[in-house]
Amino acid sequence: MYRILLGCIVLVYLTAPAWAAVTPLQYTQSTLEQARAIVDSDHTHNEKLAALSALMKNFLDTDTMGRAALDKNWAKLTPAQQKEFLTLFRELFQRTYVQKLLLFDKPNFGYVGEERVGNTARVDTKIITPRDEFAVTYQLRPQGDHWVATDIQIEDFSLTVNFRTQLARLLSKTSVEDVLGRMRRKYSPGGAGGEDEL
Amino acid sequence: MKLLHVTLKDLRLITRDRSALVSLLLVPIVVILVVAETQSGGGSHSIVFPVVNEDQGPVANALIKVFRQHLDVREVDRATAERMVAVENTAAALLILPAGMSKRYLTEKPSTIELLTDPAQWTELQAIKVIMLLADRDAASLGDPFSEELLKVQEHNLTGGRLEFSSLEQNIAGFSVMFVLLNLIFSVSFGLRDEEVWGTSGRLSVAPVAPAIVLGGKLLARLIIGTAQLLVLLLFGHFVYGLTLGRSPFALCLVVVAIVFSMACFSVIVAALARTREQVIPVGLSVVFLLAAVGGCWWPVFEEPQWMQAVAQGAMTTWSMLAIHDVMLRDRSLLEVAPKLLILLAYGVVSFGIGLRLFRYADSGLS
Repeated sequence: MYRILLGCIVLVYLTAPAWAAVTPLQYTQSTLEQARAIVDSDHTHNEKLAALSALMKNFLDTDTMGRAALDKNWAKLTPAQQKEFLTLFRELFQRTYVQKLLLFDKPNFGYVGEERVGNTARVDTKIITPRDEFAVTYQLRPQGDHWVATDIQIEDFSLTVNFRTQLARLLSKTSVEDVLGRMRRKYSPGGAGGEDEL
Repeated sequence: MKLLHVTLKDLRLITRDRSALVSLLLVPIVVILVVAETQSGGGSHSIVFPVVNEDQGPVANALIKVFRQHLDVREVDRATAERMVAVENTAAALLILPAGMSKRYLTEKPSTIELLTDPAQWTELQAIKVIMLLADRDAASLGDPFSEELLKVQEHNLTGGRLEFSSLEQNIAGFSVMFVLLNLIFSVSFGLRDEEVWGTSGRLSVAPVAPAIVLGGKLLARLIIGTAQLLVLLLFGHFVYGLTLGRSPFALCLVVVAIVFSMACFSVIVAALARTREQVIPVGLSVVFLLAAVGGCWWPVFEEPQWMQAVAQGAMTTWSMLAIHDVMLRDRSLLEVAPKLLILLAYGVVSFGIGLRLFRYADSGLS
């Protein structure tokens, strides 16, 4: 009996998801502090942009966000279009978020707390400036040994919802291919919104 | 062989006239120096751009950072900024970044930023607008992926009814002032030197009339002609090219009289410096080109280097252009333009005093 109990504990320990080792708040804090170090560094704007994009690649679940942003329009895309959309959306979202982060000269992050709901978590943070505070909330889900953000809310304003609104408006006026073309021009390598031009 | 003799004889004649030789090089060198110095000036960096930062957030800071790369940004309160644009005219426009703009921007809500302008400073304003477009492009790449306008610019004129003027409207006034100056300097200088040739100077020197009266009378005639010339040129611009003449014809007439008065009196100094008839052309042309270039008749003063802008404060052409723009482009009243008129009148009186003291006929003396 004792051996069975010990075996169960070992089994639970071995099969428990690795993400349980680090809390959502800790993981978010770790990512944001790395982001702050990059923003505070003496590198050029483009170098910071590249470093932040690399950092955020592991933190942002842009595929989930992209699907949520397309909402019911997701089904209207062919598998090839869906694949291309997610690739472009990753670039779009990362750049939008990272550029917003770079707006703050020396961002000072405050960590308010975390709340877990089932398998997901919500981490409340704030960016503190000398004159003001900006509330930023991350919706997270576990992925492997870490957490990934499935949405970011700035001052209760969801970036995913905003993209959903913009995309729905665009798709009501124009075709999927036009929207993809627009994104391609801005966010594909060498597009108008390429890093060199930012 | 005969051809060679004629050529050699003419060359000897030409080399005897040193003033003519100097004029071959002096005038173009002076103009080249001034143009080169202007081109090497501060460019848009010398354009003062007051910004009222009511937001104090990251977006305002980022915008100001972009503006600072191109303009001389001054963060000031609204009253100071309005004074700089509307009263002192030391800035072509001011920008108001509203409170809460950063929060609205970060949450993808549009904000309206106000650009209050002085369209009379047309070229500076154009430069500012181009730089604002650059900043807007940067801003659009920051948080506006689908090119929705998050920052809307609302433009208001602080100094008149219109939002913009054409470069023609600026150039007509500038070139008119320059040609009137050219006419005054040459006519006064040649007129005085011709009297030596005609022997009038000798008779005047023994006449029972004060030199100031003699010179004053001559200048009054030039003042009348110069005033008529400038008014006709401006009217030509008005009827042919739609040049605006402002709301007050009376104020415009007085401005024209004050401009011509200061120039006519100044031309006596030039006549005193050019001691012979031959020297009038090189000296006169150099002075006219210098004053026109430095004083903003050819290009906006902001394009000049700082030291040249400081020198420009001492040129009557600078005050002439400021006064004429005040009345014509800024719809200012006589009372509002009065300080500049007083400066031009004072400039004329002082120039007349100096000219009277310096001027001598080459043979005998009216002094």
